Amino acid sequence: LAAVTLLASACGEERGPETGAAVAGSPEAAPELPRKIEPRRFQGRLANARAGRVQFIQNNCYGCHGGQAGGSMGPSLRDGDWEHGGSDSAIAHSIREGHPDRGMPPFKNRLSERQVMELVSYIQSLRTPAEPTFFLEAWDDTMHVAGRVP
Amino acid sequence: MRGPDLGITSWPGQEWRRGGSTVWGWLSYDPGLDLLYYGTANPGVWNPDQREGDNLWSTTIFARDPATGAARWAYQMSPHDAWDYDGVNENIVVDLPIGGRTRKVLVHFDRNGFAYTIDRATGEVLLAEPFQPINWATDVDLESGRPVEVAAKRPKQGEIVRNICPSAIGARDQQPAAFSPRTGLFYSPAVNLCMDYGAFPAEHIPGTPYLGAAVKMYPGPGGHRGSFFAWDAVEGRKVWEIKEKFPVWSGALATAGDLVFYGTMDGWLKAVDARGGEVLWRKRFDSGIVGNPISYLGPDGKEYLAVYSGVGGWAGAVVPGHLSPDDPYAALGAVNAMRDLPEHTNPGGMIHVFALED
Repeated sequence: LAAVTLLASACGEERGPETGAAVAGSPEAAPELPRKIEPRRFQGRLANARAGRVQFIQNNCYGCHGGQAGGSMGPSLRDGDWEHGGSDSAIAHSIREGHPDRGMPPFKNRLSERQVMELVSYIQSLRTPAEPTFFLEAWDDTMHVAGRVP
Repeated sequence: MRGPDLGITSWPGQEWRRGGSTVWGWLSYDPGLDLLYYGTANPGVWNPDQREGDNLWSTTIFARDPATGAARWAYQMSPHDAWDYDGVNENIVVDLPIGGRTRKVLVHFDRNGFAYTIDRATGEVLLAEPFQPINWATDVDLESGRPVEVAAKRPKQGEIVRNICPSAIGARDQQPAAFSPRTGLFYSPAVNLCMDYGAFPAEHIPGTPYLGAAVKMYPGPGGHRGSFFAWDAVEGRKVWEIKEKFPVWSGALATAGDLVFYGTMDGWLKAVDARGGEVLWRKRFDSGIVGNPISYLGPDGKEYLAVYSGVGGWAGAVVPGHLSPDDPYAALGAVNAMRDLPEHTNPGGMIHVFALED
């Protein structure tokens, strides 16, 4: 190969992989946050943000936007960068109409206006001390409602 | 496993209709046996308690007659998958000396952490050994072909099951291994991440992901997040291993010069001695490598090596996707394990070509 440089070996040890329940990861070894992130301020009502978090889980929003809306296949909603506007009305419009060209379906036929505004309230609470982060509890009240869960 | 309509009857109700099990990986073909091989993905929904049963034919290797499509055999690796262990990784078709004779086998490094050596004519599992530290199962029963599960590591609705290894990303993702007929060894990338998995109900809403899972990943035993290793598929053992800071998300290339090549997520292209595992040469690019190195003979008669750099994929999504590192559940939990990657590499998209000197 052109410009070949010989470098020291980085060969690992020879050892079979472990199996069974004794194998454990290192949650404490998860990397540190690369920089300090300043919290934002939340002007809305905590109850609305919590109700919006329930909508965020029950309507599968977390699947595209991340469990705490930090992004996955869809963009982060917690970084303060808005492609379609970050006002309450602009966010509500995005939820109602979706962005089908970007893969987001419209939710206007699924959510009431109140539920849309609860979702807006949750999104405005992200990265504030008021941000709700629960997952499993989102289904506590509705888990056994007939027809809700397949 | 044989029977009528098992792909329907091993699911509750109509769940089979929306049950994932897609084919999004690699296809292999054996012209001698005239058989086509491929693997299927995880079953959907991710919450396993919404789909009791084995959920056939998810996480399955199929051998099919390419003319008619008829299945010759099928082998499900992770029955009633609860961890997102897709079975789509490549199936490498080789002939190996096993038990004093040459066997026509298929070698498959699965996301569930087991490397399988399978008789590709009959589907008989000859060997299944873990190639990474795993704890969801202890081994595979070669009589039945089923994994021997560790019950405490199976996710359940309404609970958070902690410290499952490997993570949903798998002990290896879809980037392919290489085989060297000169050494008789396989060379494979690996991922060493574990996870916490909280399962909860999910409603099927067209156009949205069908999950019902809160997943958070972190480094596995030892703290290194990936490795590159040589594997003996006759004995089912690692021959050597190079540990890496990040998951190894590139494919492998083995050459007739007894070099193997792979790339790292922090941008190193490495050439390794195929027999001893020593790194002989390396070069760093601006962006991480998640492509597959290839070698080829150019029209000028020269030999070339080419590789794509441009970090991304599930583990690398935090860089090009501008994901928020303070959401541990971003990218389905991968960001928690990878949030320092942006400090080590950049978004990119370049082809690098090297010529062999005369």
